[in-house]
Amino acid sequence: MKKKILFWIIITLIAFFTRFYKLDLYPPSLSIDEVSIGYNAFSILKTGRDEWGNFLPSSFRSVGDYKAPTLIYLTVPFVKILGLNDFSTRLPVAIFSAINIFLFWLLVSRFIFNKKYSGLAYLSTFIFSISPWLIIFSRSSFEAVVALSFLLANLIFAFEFRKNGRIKDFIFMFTFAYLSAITYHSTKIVVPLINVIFILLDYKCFVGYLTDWYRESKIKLFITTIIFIGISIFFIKNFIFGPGSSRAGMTLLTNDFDYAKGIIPKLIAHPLFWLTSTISLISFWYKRFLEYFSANFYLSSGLGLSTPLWPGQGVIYAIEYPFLIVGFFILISLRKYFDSSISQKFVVSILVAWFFLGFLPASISNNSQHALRSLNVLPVIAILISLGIIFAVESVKKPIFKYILSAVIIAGYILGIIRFVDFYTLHYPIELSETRSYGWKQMAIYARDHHSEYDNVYVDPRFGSSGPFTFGTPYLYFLFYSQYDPSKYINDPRRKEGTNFENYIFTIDKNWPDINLTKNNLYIASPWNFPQWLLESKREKFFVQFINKKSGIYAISN
Amino acid sequence: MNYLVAVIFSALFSLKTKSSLFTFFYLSLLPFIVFSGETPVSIFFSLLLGFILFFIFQKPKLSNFLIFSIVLITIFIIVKPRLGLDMSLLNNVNAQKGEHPDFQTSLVAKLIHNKAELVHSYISNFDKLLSPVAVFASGFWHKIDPYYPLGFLFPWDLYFIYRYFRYKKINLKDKPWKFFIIALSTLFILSGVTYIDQALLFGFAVVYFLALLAAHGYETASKKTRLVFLGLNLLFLFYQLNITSYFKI
Repeated sequence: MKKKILFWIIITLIAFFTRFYKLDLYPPSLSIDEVSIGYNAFSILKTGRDEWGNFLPSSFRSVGDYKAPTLIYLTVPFVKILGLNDFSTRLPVAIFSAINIFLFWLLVSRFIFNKKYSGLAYLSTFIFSISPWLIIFSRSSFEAVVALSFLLANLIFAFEFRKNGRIKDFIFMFTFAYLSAITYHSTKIVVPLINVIFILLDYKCFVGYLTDWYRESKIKLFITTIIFIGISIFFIKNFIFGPGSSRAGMTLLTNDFDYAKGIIPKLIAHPLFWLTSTISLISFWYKRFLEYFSANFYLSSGLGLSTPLWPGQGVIYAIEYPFLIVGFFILISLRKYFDSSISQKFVVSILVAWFFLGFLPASISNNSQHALRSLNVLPVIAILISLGIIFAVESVKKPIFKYILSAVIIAGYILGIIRFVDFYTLHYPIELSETRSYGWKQMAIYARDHHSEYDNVYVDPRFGSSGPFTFGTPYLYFLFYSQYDPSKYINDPRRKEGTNFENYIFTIDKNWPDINLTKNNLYIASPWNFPQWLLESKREKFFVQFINKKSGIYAISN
Repeated sequence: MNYLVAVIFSALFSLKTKSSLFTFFYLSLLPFIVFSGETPVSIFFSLLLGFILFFIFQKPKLSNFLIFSIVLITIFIIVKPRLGLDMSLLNNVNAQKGEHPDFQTSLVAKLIHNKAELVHSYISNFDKLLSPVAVFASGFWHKIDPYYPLGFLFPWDLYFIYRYFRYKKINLKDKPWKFFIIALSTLFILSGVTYIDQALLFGFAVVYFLALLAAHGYETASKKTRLVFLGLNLLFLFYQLNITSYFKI
């Protein structure tokens, strides 16, 4: 009991320091998605409508990406209590991430691992709690973390249902399945597949439960069926075929740069284009899928916390990699570690299915090795690593070698954690803060305090040290940090055509070198927008330098 | 010439393991032999190493391991492998070291940003040759075309390697695996640290070893299934030959 208490004290401390400590500072600057989630939650709180004036939408149009609704609605009470700021926007995901640890513990200790090997549940929960894969996404508003909570809850109730056959557990099982599916696009694919496999693996048992329910209470079964069908229709209508599907459509593999711009233009003149393009697409998907089993994803570039092609951080710690491989072979060859209360074969089959299906949504979308889209696999990864470690330590017979192995593992973890903290808190902000739209927050706060001094404030949404290639959404930062009244914004007649509000004008059409300095305007843009003489004159009102000091954003007036 | 080398090895393997004609055809038509463009000597050494590795795997005896070592030393003398790690990576490591405000004295900077980071170059080289995606889906990525995916083996060989392990029921406790592990690790290391053209020689040895496992995996399937896959393999090769010539490489 004392050990259990000590374990949970350690886990609580880990959860606090990795999820909540300096949450508003690391990572620096809210991303575009985060300000969008924050402002839309604020808008829902004040008006019941999103930034486009849609009443309680089932998917948020936002910047055209039709965001999943759950996280935005979950953020509303935090904005209500703490106000609209960086901390309140990030807090819900951090809380869900902490809940994930507990849910993971429940799942593995009750349904996955054999009670004889209780150490596995503790070890895997510890590994899960310190996972860099989960930590970095827990400190930003990423829906995938919330979807993972619902997926874990879904599986807990699925196992409970499989064990006891209670209708209550079945209802919770599919409720959490739907919640997970509507929270993030990847889980729309993973969750239904895992649940279908869960039922099909032992369909006779499921049919048996259905027969029992029918015998016990026909009305109860009838009502449950009606609710199930109703929710399914609502889900399919809104999230598979509705506007919520547009984001998924945008990120499909067919839109991948390598496929759409690399392969297709070359094949287009082929006499059997329909065949060659189809075979190429299948081969291309296969490539994308297998990329998730490459060492670089796990060891050097999976999380992308550094400049591409520079040394970076993988999705796991380096010391874990050999144990992950061993763990996988243990999973498919040794069943003694798994819970036998249902069936060891059943548990292993679910884990294998989860491991491979978990990468499926990420592999059918654009971009290779996408850590966020494959986050749902993390619980299986933590299970495999813990299996590998326990097997390795068990396999060593001599105590002295056991101690040496344990010392190597602990030292590896310490080095790995130091390295991860170094990359996350130092190199990531320096090398990649531009990708998080760093600078717009500071500029938005400056503009909030000074915009009334000018007739118009012109803002160029393009930014970055390499030139006018990156388009940001500064209007969201200006709305967010000025806490601009959503009802005024929604009802502004200019909203139909663009994002302008008050005296802010967001435009790329302006011929920036020819700005008229005789008028009382403020111009907010990147250095390459302005002629050099203007930058060197004393017309600069404010300058936000990027953390890498390569460039920044200027505010200039007459 | 490459093809002739492959045919000789296929015949040798089929005779030694008393495999069916399918194995002979399968091993003679491997994509990495058809598309690689390696010299016949290089292919010969690759197949020879892979061949011996397979027999170490089957019978991890000292004699097999000694043969493997002698062949490897001979290859070393002939090929003279050079280190192929990306040394420009060190500049990036130093740049990251310099990102520490007090990097001259920072213990963390010294601990993390040092020559050990060259392992990233090793991982990158290894992935290009021996990751599952390289072997089964896109090893020829960038070599044939910047975008076109084509693996070193047939895409479905992955399943037949699984079948090999599924049906052969290998008992990990029965055999002295150290010889096999040392031999395989040596090839893994050489594939990652040597200059890419030489790394191909060692990488293809492992690929051929996997092909031999897959060949045994095919043997566990019915005759009809093997015939279907023989046809499929031929179709696959013809299709890829058509496409790659269409891409005008």
